[in-house]
Amino acid sequence: MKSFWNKATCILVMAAIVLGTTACGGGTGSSAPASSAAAPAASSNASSAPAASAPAEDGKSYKFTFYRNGAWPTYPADGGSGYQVMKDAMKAYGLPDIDWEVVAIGGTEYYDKINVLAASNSLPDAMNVNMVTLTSFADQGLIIPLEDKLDQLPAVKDLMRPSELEAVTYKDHLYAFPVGYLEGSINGPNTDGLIIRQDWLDKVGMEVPGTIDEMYAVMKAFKEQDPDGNGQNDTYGYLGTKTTLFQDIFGAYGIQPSFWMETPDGLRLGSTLPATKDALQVLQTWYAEGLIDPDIFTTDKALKDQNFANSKGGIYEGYGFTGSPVQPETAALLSVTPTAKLSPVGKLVGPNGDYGRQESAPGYGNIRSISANCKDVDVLMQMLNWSVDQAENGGFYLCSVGEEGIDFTLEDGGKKINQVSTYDDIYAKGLGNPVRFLQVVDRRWLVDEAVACFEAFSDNYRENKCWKTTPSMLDYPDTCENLFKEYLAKIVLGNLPVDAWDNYVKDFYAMGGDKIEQEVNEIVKAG
Amino acid sequence: MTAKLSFGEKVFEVLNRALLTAISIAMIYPFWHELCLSLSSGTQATRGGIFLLPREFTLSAYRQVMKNAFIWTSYANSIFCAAMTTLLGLLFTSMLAYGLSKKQVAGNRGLSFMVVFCMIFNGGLIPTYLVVYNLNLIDNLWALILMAMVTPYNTIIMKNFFSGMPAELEEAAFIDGAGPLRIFFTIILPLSKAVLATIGLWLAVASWNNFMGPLIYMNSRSNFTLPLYIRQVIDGQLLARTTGEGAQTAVESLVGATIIISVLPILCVYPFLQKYFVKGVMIGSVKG
Repeated sequence: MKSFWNKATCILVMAAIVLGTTACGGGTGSSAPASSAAAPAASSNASSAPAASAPAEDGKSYKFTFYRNGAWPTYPADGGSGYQVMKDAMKAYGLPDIDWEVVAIGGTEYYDKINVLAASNSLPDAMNVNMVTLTSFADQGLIIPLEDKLDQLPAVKDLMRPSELEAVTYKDHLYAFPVGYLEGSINGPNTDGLIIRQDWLDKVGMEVPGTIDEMYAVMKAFKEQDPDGNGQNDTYGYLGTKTTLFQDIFGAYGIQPSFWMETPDGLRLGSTLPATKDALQVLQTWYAEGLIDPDIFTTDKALKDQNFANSKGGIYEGYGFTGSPVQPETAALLSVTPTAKLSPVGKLVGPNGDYGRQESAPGYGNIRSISANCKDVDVLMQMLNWSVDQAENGGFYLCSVGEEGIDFTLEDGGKKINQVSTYDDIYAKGLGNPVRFLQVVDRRWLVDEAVACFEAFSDNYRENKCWKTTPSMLDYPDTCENLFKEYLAKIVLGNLPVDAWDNYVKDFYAMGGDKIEQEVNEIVKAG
Repeated sequence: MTAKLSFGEKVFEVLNRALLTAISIAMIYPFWHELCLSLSSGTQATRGGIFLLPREFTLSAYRQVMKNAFIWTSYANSIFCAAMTTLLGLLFTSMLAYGLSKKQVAGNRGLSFMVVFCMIFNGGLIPTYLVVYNLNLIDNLWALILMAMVTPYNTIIMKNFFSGMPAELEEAAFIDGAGPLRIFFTIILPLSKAVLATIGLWLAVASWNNFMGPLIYMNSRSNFTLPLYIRQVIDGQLLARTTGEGAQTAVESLVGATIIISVLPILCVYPFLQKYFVKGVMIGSVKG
């Protein structure tokens, strides 16, 4: 019996070693480390890294890894047929032999991943960052200053806006490249705006509203005059989502709640300025009169699109792209109501002549940093410059809309891009957005209806005087992000009186708003 | 012979069935909704609302999903991970649990304490990542398999099951000349089908649904598992829509088709293991 238990003990110890080395697995998930006994197997060599091609004249090959915050499901693991096309173009451009790997992760989980990589000092050569990550990585020395590298990007340097370069400058150093913008109103960073049902306007005999009073009159007509002609009182004026900030309405009163605005006392958050109360009064009245979708504060994007497609509302918080008849929400609307027509709502002027929606965050949400782990920064700069160069053998089109003559043609003297291949097909070849190592916004592919929307929206944006993240913003994340949204919903719904805004201001300053405001003003004064 | 039901029992029976039917519908409808979306045209899917049947029936979403080779790669990776995690997980968990169930084994208490300690105090994401990184297992499917194989919770459930088995069985076998390995593999494991099926199902489902593991540890697309691929499809559609590139793509239909294709295997396996599932948990939970 003794030998029996000796052997049993051996079994136990063997199994315990497995448990010990895989230690600390708290549940059925995957949070424990792995056994060293198991060597990399099956897929260890199944990496997407393409085989290195022949080295350049200096005999050296380079490889860079890019982490992208985006999702392109058809982008091939081996880079696709476009990989060699790009390599050939790079060679003809005069670049050394360069290989690359793109890791694309969509959604906010992307930041979980790069934070883990940062903690293990294994950040990729180049990556998308947001402002919070940028400041954190810069403080830790994980990303490198880039102000001296800008001159190595002649193809894009002049297309980057000074305000955006300034916004990604932290502690006097440029820590990321923003995007560049081609000239023209369609290529700006701002894409959002209000879209109105022109066929409804025609039916009630009104014009696209240009003032806040006209907006009220139009919404009232949409609510009361049965513009969809179904004989039921089931339409609203305004369709939005639970994240809506009623930007045009606040803009008409001279503020944007989440923007830092100039006042005689320095910069203050828009939501703490008295004009906010005036806009809230208007919104509460509109909601009480049934002009705003009653479920707006529980509606997500998909439901808003459904309401739009089913003609539940006449004014839609959309994009310039919404003007295109093939944009999904518009296509759905047209399938139900083929006679539907859309128009953009431009400036919505308030009682004091103010207007303006929120401008987009710097870099079109697509800023890129270079890791301190990158060994060949100068070669990487050459590659980045190639990717945005429109000159012969430059990668501008390969990295955005594919191969000329195959995936697209240039028309009207280069003013229009006529796409032959779908974006999915371009990505499947390994070209286009997944390999857009730097971005230059180029929307020459837009259809005329969408162009009209972009042009109407183009000068209807208000500037944020400070895009930077301060330490107190990180310490009190809810103060700037969520506090006002809570009060906004409660006041618009009528659960709180408009005077509750005074309490909001008190809460704001009590919850770290005073520190945030002080830091913002110090940053701006310091330049 | 069925006893005659009283009025109260009949009322209870009706209400009970009505309630369970309502709950069943509430459970089944989301799946039915996705199925209908996946078989509807893009414009009809975008219109939304309640779907009792597909509108403007089309298989285009399935064609679009299946023409992408990645779904099959992801499928293969998910099946490989789920199968290996289940097989190796059952082997190692049962070996550990069997040893722990024997009080005579030297160091039993200490090892049991370690198991429980690991269940309460987790290593955390970053230390875990560092271990995997230093083992050169990043971007390797074995990282997912090895990490999910043995978990303290499963070990305790199985240990409780083994503890409830009569010691006489093993003593009789030992007298007949069987060694511990033979006893374990030819007597103990065949008598433990219920708990093996239960733990196996847990391991398989956890591996199949694992999203954060592949997200953190896998880099190359050839190593993506199904949850990661599905998330790519959904994020890709949302991104395409906000950048105006999603034109002509049936967003909701495509997402629906991807979801249906991904849940089918687990949906097929689950009913056959359900009876073991309940039995195994009951046994593991009442004996110790």
